[in-house]
Amino acid sequence: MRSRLIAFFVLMLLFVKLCAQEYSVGDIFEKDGISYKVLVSYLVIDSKETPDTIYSPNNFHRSGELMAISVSKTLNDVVIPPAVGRFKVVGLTDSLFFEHEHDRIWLPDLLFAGNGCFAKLKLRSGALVLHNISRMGESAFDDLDADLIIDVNGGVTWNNTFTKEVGDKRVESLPKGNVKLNSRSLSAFRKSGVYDNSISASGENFQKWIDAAFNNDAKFQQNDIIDKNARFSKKVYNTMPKIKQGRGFEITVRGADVKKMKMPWGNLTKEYYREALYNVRDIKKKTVTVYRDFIPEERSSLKDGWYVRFIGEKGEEKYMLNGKKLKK
Amino acid sequence: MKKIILLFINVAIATLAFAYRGETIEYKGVIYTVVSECNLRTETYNEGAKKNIVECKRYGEVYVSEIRVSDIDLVIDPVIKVNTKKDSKKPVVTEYSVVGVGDKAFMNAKLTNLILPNNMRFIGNEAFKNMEITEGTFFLPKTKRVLRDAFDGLKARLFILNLNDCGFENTFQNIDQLPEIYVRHNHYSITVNGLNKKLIYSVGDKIVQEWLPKESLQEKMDAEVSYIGDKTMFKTLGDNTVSPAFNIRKSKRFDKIGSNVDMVAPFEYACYNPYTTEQNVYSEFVMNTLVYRVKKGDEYLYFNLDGRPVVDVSSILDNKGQDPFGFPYSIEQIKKFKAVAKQKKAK
Repeated sequence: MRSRLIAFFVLMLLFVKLCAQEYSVGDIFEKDGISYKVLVSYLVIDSKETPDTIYSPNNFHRSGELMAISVSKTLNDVVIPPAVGRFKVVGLTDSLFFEHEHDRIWLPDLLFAGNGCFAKLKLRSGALVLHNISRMGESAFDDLDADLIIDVNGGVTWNNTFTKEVGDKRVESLPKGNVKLNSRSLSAFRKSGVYDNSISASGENFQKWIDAAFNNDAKFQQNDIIDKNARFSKKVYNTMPKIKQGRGFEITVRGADVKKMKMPWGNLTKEYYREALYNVRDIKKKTVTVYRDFIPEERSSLKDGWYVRFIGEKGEEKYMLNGKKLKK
Repeated sequence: MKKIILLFINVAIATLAFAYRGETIEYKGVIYTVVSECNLRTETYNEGAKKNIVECKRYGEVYVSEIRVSDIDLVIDPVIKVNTKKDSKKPVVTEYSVVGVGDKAFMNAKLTNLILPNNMRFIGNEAFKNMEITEGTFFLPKTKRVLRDAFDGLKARLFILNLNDCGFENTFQNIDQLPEIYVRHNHYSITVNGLNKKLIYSVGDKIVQEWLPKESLQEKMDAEVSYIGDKTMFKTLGDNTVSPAFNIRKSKRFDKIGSNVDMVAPFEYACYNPYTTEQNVYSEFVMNTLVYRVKKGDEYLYFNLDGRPVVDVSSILDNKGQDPFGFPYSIEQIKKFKAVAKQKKAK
């Protein structure tokens, strides 16, 4: 009875947490058969809630970045959403789909996918579609049992994606099917081993490949529309209202790689995290300072006021909203 | 005496019959249409015989106008050597450059592979319409002009080997009927008039290697059509003699007969005759060891190799009334020749 009660409370806690979407770095949660780890969290505002002026610290919300760390093998269709609540999905862990078999997989634009992420994956639709994934791990598509359709816009870092180590040699590591590129991606793969093994197309011809990969199901391709993150997770905000231009701070928040961790390959699930960086521009002084943390605080002495606390290399600094430094 | 020496030096040049623009020739199951034909005087030293060998080589240009074979690997060579006088004991071989593919030439054909030479002048309208290549890939070599709907309904992928050397004229207008069109990755950035980039796929070299036909056919894919160019000037008695000098060139004005032959201009012969001191342009030229014949308008003219006009044409005709090159004259025409000769002698 006691264990049931504990389980109930744990479930309730998870439910409340999911609804509140106030995750902390390192938190792991599961939704729709996919588990996520929170890589970084930072403060954002809801542009609808505070279109002009931020009235109090209560106007801030926790947003951040997630990494998919496991996918249920029982899912027929796997949809990795662009975001869960305010948290954006930015990466896939090592070997996420290793030896999986699914009908279709939908992936959003991502920052990274880990080593062997799609190795030995079998897709019953016949093709895996990747949109922008900036960094791809080693041997990511080794023996992928499907065509690989790559639709990236710009430069990518896929250094050892199409090779693997066998003994002391590095050999080709390619999908079993064809590698199909969007023609605009060609230059990005010119120096890659996959260039000579690929077919490219543009316009309707390329879209036909994608349609076939998703079994000509137009609805399945609209998964990116559910991305509400951009709408209510505004990452750039001002401490003073727009009408009082020329004073205060403009804060821009972002997730960044932790320098000492270099590339995110290896032990992604256990150790990998990213850090929040707040670029704070003093509008009057026209200077930019980067801080690791930002804490909006309520001022007890004034009715409607609040002040900002930044934590950076020099320690903690407090400022009024108009940019004037507060004494400790 | 000089004439006799010449006769000994020069090996007898075959009596030549002329194939006319628009005539067809069948060669290894392919029907070719003659675009133009010319004769070239060549002189080479033969070490075995220790003397100069003079030949009047026959050269021509043809295009593929039809095929009568199916289910084979068909290789269209850049040059075909055809005996154009089969009834004669001595073969008369003409070297024809294959300069194009005519309208509907391969329409509805079914072949395992088709290899065309590089550097053709044209591919006609609907040339490969509904053609089937059972090995799966049809390789288009560099071709100056590719005309309307050439590949509509092609049952194979179309691989354009040299995109920067092809010109397309309404070739890809029926989008619904086009095959899959492929180029190499490094050709994708090339902009070509008449080819919408969105229609084409590009492929890497390793995939191209997989699509290429067997090695024996791959060798044939590099073959290139050559056209007579620098060596088209000659003198009837040799380079260092005072004799009529001929220059073979493409005619700028010619009678269009409304078919594929009009895609390529016929040859014409510009001649300076030092004996008559006249410069003329002829539509035909043919020679043997004694005389040469040229055509101006509808009339044949005969000259000795040193440029002197043959006064009595009847004197060079055989007992059947044919000239040394096989052209027959009627009795009335022969009488006329004799009369003209008599008048000239009297003068």
